[in-house]
Amino acid sequence: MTLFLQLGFQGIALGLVYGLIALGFVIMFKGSHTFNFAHGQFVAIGAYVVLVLLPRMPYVLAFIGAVAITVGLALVVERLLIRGLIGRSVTVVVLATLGISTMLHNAVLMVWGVGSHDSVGPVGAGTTKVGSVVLPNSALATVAVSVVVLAAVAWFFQRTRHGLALRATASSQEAALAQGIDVGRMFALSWALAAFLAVTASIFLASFPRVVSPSIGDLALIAIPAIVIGGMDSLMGAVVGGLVVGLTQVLGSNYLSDIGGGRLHEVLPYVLMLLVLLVRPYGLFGSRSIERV
Amino acid sequence: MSVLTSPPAPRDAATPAPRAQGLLTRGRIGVLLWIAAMVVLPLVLRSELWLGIGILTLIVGVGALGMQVITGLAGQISLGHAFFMGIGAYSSAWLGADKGLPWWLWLPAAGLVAATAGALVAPVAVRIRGLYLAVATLALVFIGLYAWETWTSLSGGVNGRPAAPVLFGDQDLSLGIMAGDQVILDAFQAWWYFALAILLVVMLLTHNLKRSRLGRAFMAVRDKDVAAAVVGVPVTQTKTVAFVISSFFAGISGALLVSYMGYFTPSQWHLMLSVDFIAMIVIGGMGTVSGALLGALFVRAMPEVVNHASGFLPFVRKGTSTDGGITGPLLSGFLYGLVIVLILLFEPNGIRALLLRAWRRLPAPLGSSRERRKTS
Repeated sequence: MTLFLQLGFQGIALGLVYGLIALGFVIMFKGSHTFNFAHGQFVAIGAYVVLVLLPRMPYVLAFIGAVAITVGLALVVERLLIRGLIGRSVTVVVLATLGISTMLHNAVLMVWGVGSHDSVGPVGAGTTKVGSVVLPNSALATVAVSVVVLAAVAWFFQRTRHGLALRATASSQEAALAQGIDVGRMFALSWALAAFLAVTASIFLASFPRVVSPSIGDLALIAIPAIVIGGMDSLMGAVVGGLVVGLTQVLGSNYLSDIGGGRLHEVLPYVLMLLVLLVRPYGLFGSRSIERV
Repeated sequence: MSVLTSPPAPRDAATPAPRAQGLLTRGRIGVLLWIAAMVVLPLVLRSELWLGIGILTLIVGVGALGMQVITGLAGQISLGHAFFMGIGAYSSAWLGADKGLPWWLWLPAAGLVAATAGALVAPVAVRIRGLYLAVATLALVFIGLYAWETWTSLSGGVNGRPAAPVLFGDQDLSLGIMAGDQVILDAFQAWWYFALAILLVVMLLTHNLKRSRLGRAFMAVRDKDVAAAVVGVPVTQTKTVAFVISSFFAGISGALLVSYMGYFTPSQWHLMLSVDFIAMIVIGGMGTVSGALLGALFVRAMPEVVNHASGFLPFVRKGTSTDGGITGPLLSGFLYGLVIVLILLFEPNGIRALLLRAWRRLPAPLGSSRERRKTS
């Protein structure tokens, strides 16, 4: 039972990180109708920038600097490479973001190489004991910060002018234009918000015992099953999907280690995703209308 | 639909391409000229780099035509091409190398096994479309990678395994074709002609498919599946058939690819391979045979050329490094991604449209431009 609780907590921590990444995907998808396969590379770049800034300044400043740089990059990519593809077919947009992902991935390798670096988590390797359950501090920090950030995002969407404008744009760009909302600016805002979530997720994805390495970009792709499980246009679904994927991976890595070469937990989220697609193609929380024949 | 998401005119695949004007599609004469050129090329081309690129282009051209069927014609975006190619590759290696069957059995068998896998996946895939289909097929790639790496008795694990050789009698194609002591075709030429022959068969199949009842059904489903259903096209069945045909070509292409390389590892059936194939048809030109081939040439040749040329650039490091620095493969990867995005932005209809335009602007033999002659 103790083991189950420990694993469950770590699963929730990892799931919340996936949830943050998945939320970024969904916000970009709803805000600018672009499913950004390059989002994983934003996560990787965020982690690397924190890594570079960390020796030179306090943690909070390094984080803010990384957010500024990654948001800047996301805005440049959106304005220069994505905005021109508005209205093109899904195939074209998917290929474009895959192309951007290739570019960014190779750029990361050019700047920082293929090697692994240190962790960049806000807390180190310590543990905290609650009853008989031993919890790593990094997981505690992950859960605490993720919950705060998710609450802030929810507040932003529900209680602010820009959040309202973003929701209006997502539901109908034409109607939003008619209400005087600058839709182009909303595209940029959704990408900036997603980049901020990517950096937040990156410091926990590269938190002890995980480290900063080029594979972070691929690791972030596991958020895709999370989105599909939750429903591609549901903010709530992204977080729930992330939790499902995180718990599946952590619990699977322990309880299924004897089956299928001990790596079954790596593909389990994808299998789960196919099952969800088979039963509910629009995901658990998605709206029934989208992309359904 | 809204102001910003609806284009002023359907620019992508919806507009029918102008016919009988292409470099490769100028009727039968154009095709015959192209075939003649492809037959002569390996006899005069003496660069092993370019012969290698050419053979790989011919082989992946088969897979690109498969991609063209599912995405270009039937409009179903699939990221699962690498998965089906992997299935073809492993079936061919099992039948050809482990069981010792001849190539004329393992090659079609590789296609059939991949097609069966396509038929098994189709029930899930036909229920969804657009992005959902893209990510569902993405899952296939990752599940496939896991299967190849775990099923070590078949795949040899991360170390890889040898592929099936192509034997004509007792002559191995990878050693060249000999008559007595005399070399008739060296290894490059032999593989070139073998791959060309298979590509020509697949090209003919795709071309005829496009003009058949089934091909028109594909395009009807692509343009608007609801409208297709209204006019009596069985949508689910049509999509399933598209998946099966596409997987069949992918399986053949995968089997040829590993047979040419001789040795292969599970990691090469990664998502990047699928991306290459989408890039081929979108960059080359959606929905056309010549577009798929142009795209295949571009995707195969471009990284090699950059890699080769980067040896002469002063800021490019030689060899690999773990702590960063610009190396040839990284530079070519970066430029590959950049060129994909730039072509999508500035030439929506791909290289084929670019070449067609350049062709029409060429001055015609009698002084008037071809475009003018056409309109008069």
